[in-house]
Amino acid sequence: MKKPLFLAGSNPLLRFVVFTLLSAALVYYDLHGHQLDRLRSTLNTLIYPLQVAVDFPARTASWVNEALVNRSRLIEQNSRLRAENLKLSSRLRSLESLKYENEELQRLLKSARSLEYDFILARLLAVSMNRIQQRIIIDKGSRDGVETGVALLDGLGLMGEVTRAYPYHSEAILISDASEAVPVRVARNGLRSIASGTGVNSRLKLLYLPVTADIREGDVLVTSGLGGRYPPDLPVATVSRIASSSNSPFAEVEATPLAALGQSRRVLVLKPGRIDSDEGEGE
Amino acid sequence: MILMPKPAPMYISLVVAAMLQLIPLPDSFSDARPLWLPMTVLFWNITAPSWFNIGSSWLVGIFLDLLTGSLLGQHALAMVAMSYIAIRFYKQYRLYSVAQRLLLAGSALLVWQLIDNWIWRIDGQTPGATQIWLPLLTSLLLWPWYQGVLDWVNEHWRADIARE
Repeated sequence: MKKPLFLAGSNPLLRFVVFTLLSAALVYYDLHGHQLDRLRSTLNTLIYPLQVAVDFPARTASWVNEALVNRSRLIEQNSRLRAENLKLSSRLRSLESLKYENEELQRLLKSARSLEYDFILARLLAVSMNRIQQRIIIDKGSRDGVETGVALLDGLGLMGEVTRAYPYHSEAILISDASEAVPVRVARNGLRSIASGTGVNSRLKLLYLPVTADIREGDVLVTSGLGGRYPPDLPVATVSRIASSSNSPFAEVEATPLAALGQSRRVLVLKPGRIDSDEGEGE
Repeated sequence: MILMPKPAPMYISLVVAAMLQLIPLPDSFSDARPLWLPMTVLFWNITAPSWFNIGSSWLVGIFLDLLTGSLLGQHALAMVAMSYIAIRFYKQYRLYSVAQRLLLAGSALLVWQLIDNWIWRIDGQTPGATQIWLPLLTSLLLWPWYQGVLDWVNEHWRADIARE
């Protein structure tokens, strides 16, 4: 019998049909329900080394960068950080007294609530940020105390929320993802709104604000704590642009996130447990 | 042309492509990021279809789903459809002119892009027009060179093994 000149696997059409059906079934079950969560968690733990490998070039670059800093620059950096530390700790002390005063007042108002949070320091793994989906992966997981649903911050403001916690790493969604919405209020006057992502990490939009609302460019937005997903009073964004069209009762308000969503490599994960201690007794 | 299975260049190229696919880029470049992983899968489909078949492409797609945290099966489905086109036409591919090759690679990658974006929409995301067409354009601009590099690596690897 003559050997075929070309070998194209056993039967491409059969393979095509089988694997298409298999993928479609996976998509369907992942979209409607939680049957795949266990499978996903297992596979994701197995795949973690690959994720670390993918992250390797970025980490090497930053390591080389740090290793090549020369001595005089280190000394200079050290003294600058010392000065900064001193400044921050003195500021913290004055904030401490404000905190006690605030707690005192809140106790009088019978709504005492602790503003102290604990954090877990985490590092970003290879960011898969296409503009379609603003998701990140961090190198701390449920073994380090990260839980699904906790908030993620950098030094400047709210970054997002952990969507899935695996044993060694977690997935988080950024506040700039188009499907993400954060209940916020204007720090100046308590005006409430919802900050929705746009898919661009330098812009959020505020929903359902009437044209007559008292809001100005430069206003700072903090989380309102409504809905219970994010703890209250975390800084989120500043208002950057306000426009109103004549045929809509709502103003078009844009805001710039305070957190460096595209740049931060180190993030803080809010430690779960102390978030909604609304009945906190104070100290 | 039936090639002997040479896993090393394939695995290395796939891991490197995954890195290029996922490495963080500034916003302005991110939209123009070429479809590294689909391009790599396409190359192996065309070069060694009896050995890197639709099942292999599906597996790479599942890996990409897990790596990016998208719906499980989303990229796998796109990979399977793209690979089917590639494997149907792999015999002609080596005889094609540059323009015909680009047309074939372009159609395969377009199918990938459309299925991927269609499932994004089902998942509630709304990718814009630039997010569909710009990666396709940069991928096609790179394709002849990328294919050349992978071809070279593939040949070279074989020569190296043979010498030993």
